[in-house]
Amino acid sequence: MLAGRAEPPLPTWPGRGAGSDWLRELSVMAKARPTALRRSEWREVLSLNMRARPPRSPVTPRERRYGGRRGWAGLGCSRPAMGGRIECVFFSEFHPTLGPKITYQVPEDFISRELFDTIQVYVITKPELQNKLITVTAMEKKLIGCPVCIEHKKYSRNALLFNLGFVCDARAKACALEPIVKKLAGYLTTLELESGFISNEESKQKLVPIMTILLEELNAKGKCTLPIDESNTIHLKVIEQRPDPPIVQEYDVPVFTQDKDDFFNSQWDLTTQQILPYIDGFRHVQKISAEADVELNLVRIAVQNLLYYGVVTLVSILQYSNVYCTTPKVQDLVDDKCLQEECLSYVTKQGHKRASLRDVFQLYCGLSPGTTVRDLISRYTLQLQRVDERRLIQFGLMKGLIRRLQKYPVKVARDERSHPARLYTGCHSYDEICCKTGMDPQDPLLRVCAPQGCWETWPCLPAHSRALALGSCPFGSLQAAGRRDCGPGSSPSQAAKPMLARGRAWGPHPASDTASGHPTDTTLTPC
Amino acid sequence: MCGKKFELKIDNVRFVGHPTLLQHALGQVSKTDPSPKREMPTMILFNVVFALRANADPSVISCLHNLSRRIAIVLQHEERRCQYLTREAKLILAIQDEVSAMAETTEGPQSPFHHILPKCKLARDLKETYDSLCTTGVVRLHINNWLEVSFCLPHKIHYVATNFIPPEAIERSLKSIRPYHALLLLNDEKSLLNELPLDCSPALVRVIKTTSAVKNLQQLAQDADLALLQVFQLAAHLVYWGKAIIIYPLCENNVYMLSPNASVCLYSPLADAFSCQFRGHNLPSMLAKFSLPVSLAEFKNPLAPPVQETQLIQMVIWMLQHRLLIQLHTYVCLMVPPQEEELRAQDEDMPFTARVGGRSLSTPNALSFGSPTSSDDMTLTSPSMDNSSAELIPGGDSPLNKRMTENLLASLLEHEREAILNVPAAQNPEDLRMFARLLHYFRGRHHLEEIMYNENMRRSQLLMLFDKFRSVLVVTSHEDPVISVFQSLLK
Repeated sequence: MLAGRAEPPLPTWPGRGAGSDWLRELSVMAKARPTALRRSEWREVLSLNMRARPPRSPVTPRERRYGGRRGWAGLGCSRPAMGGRIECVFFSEFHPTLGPKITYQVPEDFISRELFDTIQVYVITKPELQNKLITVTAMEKKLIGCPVCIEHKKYSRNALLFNLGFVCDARAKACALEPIVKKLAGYLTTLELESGFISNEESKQKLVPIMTILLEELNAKGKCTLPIDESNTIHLKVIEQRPDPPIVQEYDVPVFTQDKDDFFNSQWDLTTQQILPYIDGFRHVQKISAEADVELNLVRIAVQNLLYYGVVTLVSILQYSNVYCTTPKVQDLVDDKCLQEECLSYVTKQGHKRASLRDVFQLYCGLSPGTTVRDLISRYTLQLQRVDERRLIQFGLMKGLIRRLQKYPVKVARDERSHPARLYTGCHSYDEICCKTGMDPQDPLLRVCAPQGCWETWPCLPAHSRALALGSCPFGSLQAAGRRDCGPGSSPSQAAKPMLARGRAWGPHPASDTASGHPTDTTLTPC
Repeated sequence: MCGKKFELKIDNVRFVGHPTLLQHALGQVSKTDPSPKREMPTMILFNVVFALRANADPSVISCLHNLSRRIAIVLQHEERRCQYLTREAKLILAIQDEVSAMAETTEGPQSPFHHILPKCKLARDLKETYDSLCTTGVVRLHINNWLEVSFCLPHKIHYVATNFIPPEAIERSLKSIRPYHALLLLNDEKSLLNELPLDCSPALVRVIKTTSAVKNLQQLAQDADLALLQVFQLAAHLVYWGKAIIIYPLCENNVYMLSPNASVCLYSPLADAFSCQFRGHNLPSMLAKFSLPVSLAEFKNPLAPPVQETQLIQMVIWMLQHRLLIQLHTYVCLMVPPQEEELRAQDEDMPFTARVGGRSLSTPNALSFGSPTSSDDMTLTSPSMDNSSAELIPGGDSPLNKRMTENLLASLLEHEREAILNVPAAQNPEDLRMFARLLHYFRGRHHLEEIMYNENMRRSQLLMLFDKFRSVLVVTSHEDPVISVFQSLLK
């Protein structure tokens, strides 16, 4: 069980114990005689459990989808949900003589008589609104509840109506609490059907300590464990609702936003575990797929999952021919002390004295449309003595201080003989075209324009030398400076064989496979 | 719950409305009331409710609540005046009874709405509200053909490509516009004037007629003979309704570049519209010219016929209207070379802004720039007034000037002052004085044109100054965050 294990520091990743909780819950359900629950309810309860628990690894593409839904809620952090502080937990039921009333509320007397009278019609509802999650806002308060009705002859009035709900402030975002309310409604229904938990006055008293634990633990830790009796326990967790992550393309580069060592690799699914070592902020998705030997779409999904949890963020491929420009946010570097600290510690070269703010700021301001990274290096050699320019650019992109200018080729003249024009409509950047096709346009493009980028014609390059230019290895002159970009791994001739087997992966075009692996200056993009 | 926002969420549907109480003074019949005998009203409470998806943005919810309130106010008024609501309600209920009676005779239930719509004006109004909200986002109703309800949903109106601009960003931007900005209408003047209702303010009409892309707001105020504050308000109104955006006035020295959100797709509807309007030119080729920042002066060709230049300006205006271009401005920041003990001193440093920003330049709102023609309670607290050139007597090394300069430089740290004084140009007292005077602009938040406007200086003077002091200044260029929201470049 999770209780006994020490919690790892934030951000925490689901422990192996999570899986066993799921099984435990299933056993709670299984104890209820299946015939007692109607089949639809049983399926609903089970499906609620399925959604709230992590799926078993390994992840198949069928289980995950692009562009999340609430199905992403599998691997939540244990932080409490943002802004959804519960102010009160109430239990309301329909008394046979007194009508709708609040039987218990924790803390006492939180819901005034007036408030309850106003909204009681939404708490103990007509049959049409039963079993639906209802959130009603009134008098600066928001009440979330799920009215339940159990019909049986043994009850006076032949039905038991009750509702266990939460009260929050009207302005708070309470979406994350809704699944919990629904789940509690399901649990209480089961308990009532199984052992008459609610209709029995004695056992109903146990609700008060349960509600107290709920309130305290959900507010403090975002999760709680409720022992109902010797054999039944309920586990609840507030899953933070995050916005859907963008689609990850092959030419995107994931980079860790926090320290890599904070992660417990073993608690991720197998795909993610396999690609984690390859995420270094310089390899793009297609390269990760080739080097980690994982299918491209799986890598995309795994990175998208990491993106959802804020573990990584996406930047563009770093090439020395890239052009960047500053955004207004770069001025924050002057005023914001925290940002300065973060920046200087990130971009300073290993083993050197800390870079000065002025140098870093000058370097960022030196990036402008029309200046490539190569130009920057040649102009600002003094400032770059203590600064690692690759990390400089990475930091700038991650924080939005600079942005990349992308080139979009557009073919304006009609020419049927040329390469398929479907990619030259202005909707696909050079990065994307090179990644997707790996090809080398034999005929020069007639006109190139870019919403964010350089205008240059792309000369005919032998494909794999361009692959070098676009990969991690820049060019000969910088090798002398001792940059560790060009390793044996990045040479295409070595990597060519396994890549070719994948067909569309990064690599030289089968038709134009030149043997020489050494790039010369003339093959690089003029700028 | 009356008179307050009503919000209810059931599973995936969110209902938002504004319940309104109809209070009638019972038994009171006005003698001057020409209407026939009033019947006792039966309706006590009504509520115009919108049903949305549960995950709607909170600003959308509050906008729709606003609309519900407006409709409720109008209906309440009409009810009090001539019992409009009760009449319509009776009509609808009668038709519904008819239809349900019909359903028993004919086979199958029938929808009463098809029968209600032709007969009941209120139902048609509500249907029109729904249709307009779903399509254009602009609602204009005439309840009972008498009172008008107009409303716009900013989320539908303000969007660039596929991103919508949140209304708060627009409001923030509107609070920061300055007199040197210009108002650019998004459609042509004639169609805009046709859209205005008959009883619109004449000031608005004057503003629309006199505005132009090359005129800034101050000139516009003078030409239209209105107070600057009023022009600001009218401009904000036009911007809010999506009829105009704020730009920097067009001039030769403006540097434009393609917006990151611009779509350069060859087959987009924008490209077609461009080709229709400017025969013989196609949009991607034109956009290619702006791939890198280029100033309009570079397109000037004295040997070409002048019509080409006018056409270029029109194309640039067209591209600005369709949010394809952003304008880059030059920003300057003071950054002296660090001394050796810099690391220790950094902890005691206050941020530069706190030290130098004595005058609150950060958010001068529209009210702080008065107009010469207005005499209201607006204070002329233009920053240039504090130490305008009138105070510093030009020429000469007078002790007054020297003291002024010293005071201005006193707010800097010791090593910063030393670094500035070490610059060779600082030996020239004129240059040093100008530098000291402009010191508070060198935080990277004020662009060149703003300094030119505030201090009434020429571009060449400023550029020369920046060049002389380039060892302590860092110059960069990027878009103006105040107006870049209109290109959906947020944050």
